Amino acid sequence: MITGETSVQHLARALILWQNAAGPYWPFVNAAPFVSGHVAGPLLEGRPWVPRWLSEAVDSFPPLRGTPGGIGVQEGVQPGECRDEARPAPTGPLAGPFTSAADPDCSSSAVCSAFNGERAAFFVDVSPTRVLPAAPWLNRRGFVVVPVIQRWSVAPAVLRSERLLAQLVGYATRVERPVGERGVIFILDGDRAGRSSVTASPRRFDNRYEYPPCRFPAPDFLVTQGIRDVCWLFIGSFADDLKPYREALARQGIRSVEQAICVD
Amino acid sequence: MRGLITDPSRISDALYRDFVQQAQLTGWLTDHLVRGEPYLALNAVVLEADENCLLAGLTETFAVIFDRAARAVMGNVSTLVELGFPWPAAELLSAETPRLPILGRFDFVQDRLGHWWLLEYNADTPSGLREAVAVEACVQSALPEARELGRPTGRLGELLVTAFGRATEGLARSHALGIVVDAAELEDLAQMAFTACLIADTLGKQGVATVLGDVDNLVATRQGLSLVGRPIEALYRYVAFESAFGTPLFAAIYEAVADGRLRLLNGLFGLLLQNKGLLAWVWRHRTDAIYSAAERAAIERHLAPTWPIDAYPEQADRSSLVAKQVFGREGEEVFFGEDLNAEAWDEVRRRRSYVAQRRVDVGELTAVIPTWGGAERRVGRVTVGGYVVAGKWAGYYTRFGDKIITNRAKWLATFVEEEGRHGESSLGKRSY
Repeated sequence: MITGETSVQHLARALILWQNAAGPYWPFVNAAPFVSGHVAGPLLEGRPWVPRWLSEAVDSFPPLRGTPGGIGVQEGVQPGECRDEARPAPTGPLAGPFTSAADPDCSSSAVCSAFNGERAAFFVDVSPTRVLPAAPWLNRRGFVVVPVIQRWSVAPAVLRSERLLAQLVGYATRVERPVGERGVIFILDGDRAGRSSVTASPRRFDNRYEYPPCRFPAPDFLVTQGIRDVCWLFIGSFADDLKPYREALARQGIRSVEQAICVD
Repeated sequence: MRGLITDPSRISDALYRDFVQQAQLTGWLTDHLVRGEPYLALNAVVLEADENCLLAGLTETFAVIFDRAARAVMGNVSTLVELGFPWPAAELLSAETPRLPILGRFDFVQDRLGHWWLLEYNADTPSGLREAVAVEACVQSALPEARELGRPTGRLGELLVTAFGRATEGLARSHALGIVVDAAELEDLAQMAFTACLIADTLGKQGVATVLGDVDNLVATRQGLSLVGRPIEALYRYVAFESAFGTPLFAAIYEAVADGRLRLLNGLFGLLLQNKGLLAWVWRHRTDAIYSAAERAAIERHLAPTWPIDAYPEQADRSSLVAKQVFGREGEEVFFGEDLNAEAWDEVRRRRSYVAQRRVDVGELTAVIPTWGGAERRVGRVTVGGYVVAGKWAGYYTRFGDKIITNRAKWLATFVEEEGRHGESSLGKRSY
């Protein structure tokens, strides 16, 4: 259980830490889970972890190709193909202490290989608790990490939030503004629609939601940050609620690539 | 009225970020972006003391005026149908016990000559509570130049708590007040969660629990309604009723009301008060004996003349008119005649669910507002909303925007040159 600081103080401090680490993207760190939630500990589950599909995608961004820890282009992979999440641990100096996925025998993603801008933005529309543990590693890779999680985190609710809140608080102390920025990773709430196979009980607060485009940076704002390329990572099919924003990006001349991934 | 901050260099990025963080943490402004643009300005409009006195008085006077109008209209089902209410809703409304809204807001603008005009009354589910109660204090804290100014909205939270307490008096101990919202709308959800938090302690002392739930959490049972599994005996609705006509939600609420198992704190009467057709009714009846001399003067001098769309004066040119849909909210379905060609204007007239309001030549104000590129000095138009809690003036909600104030407008705090509000007695005696 939390001692000393109250739950409210923990969450408030975590929000500020995430926003301060987000640099110019601080307005997009959504405050909803931080103001609505309650943390009762343990605050951090396990150790940092980087899913293989994420490290592949990030490292396929050209500027790091050929550098230690970077990963080459995967041939024959088309957008829409699935990848397996579980892979061996990383190696190389940039991998640091994290568990990751630089398996030289495994074909890796080419999803960002055609990017030619200085910086890229990734929108990771997967269960956020799969991605948040990778935040420190992403910072070290030169990416700002922005959790855009709009979930109203009360209990009991259709979408449970205990683990999410623990991670948001726990990893808040480990994120930092990267040196030598290569772009930004927006961590979306891939669980926001709930499970289609489960009928929600009216006795649980219905905190499912969709993203309006205004939760994300205006396209011209991204351009001013040097973002010309965007990579979308998701499970299954591209979410309907994100399509208007993707179209807005396209109208601004920002290129999007999409990659469906598979997770355990 | 003036803008408090007019030099963009005064609002650094770091200062603005600290302000928004405080606004998020104390006011739950999780939705501080609108279309990717910041909504909260670290800035304020500053009213002259006599402007504050005038607007406070007008707010209370118009609360009485509209209450009289709605009571006069509500018993006439055919008139209600003409105002856009579906017949079943009109029947229900005609049988409803009228009550002053717990929270309403009159939106005023100032023309180029400095004269104040009332444009509309948001009596059903007015927005802006968090900004007025919590964020305004953040502005005053962050800007030294604001600390010597009066903050007329300072008691809004307290007044609202009292009003909810009174509205739930008589409920048995262990009963519950439900607050229902469309939880997928973050702005609505955060506003109602903030409200629930604000009132929960006071209601708890009365033995009444406060329960917040999504519309999908509202269920009809044999014993009445339950919200998130908890039986409720009173309900405050933050869902637009006009879009709920005929839905299971609407039916469930009114069945429970009809059975005497539910006290609906904001029923159809508030929606009637908000209906823009009532603006036209008030204007048409501005000389009637149902109004006192002071009320008649207030209407004549401060209500922007409004007519049913098919009954505006012949001499009125469409370029001098604004068409507004009777149930429109947040600037939706508002058309300036000058922006429509004759064919489009005729199409609006044919729909008949609009009123025509005389366009007010709104004065411009210079202020520093936030943009994604940083603070910028802009010239814009301001709408000052006068809050009314259970009939009493309770402060302001101000937005800065373009010709039509929509949800893209920026919020500004509202301060007064002189500390506090002028005496209530002088408000009552004021002549308009």
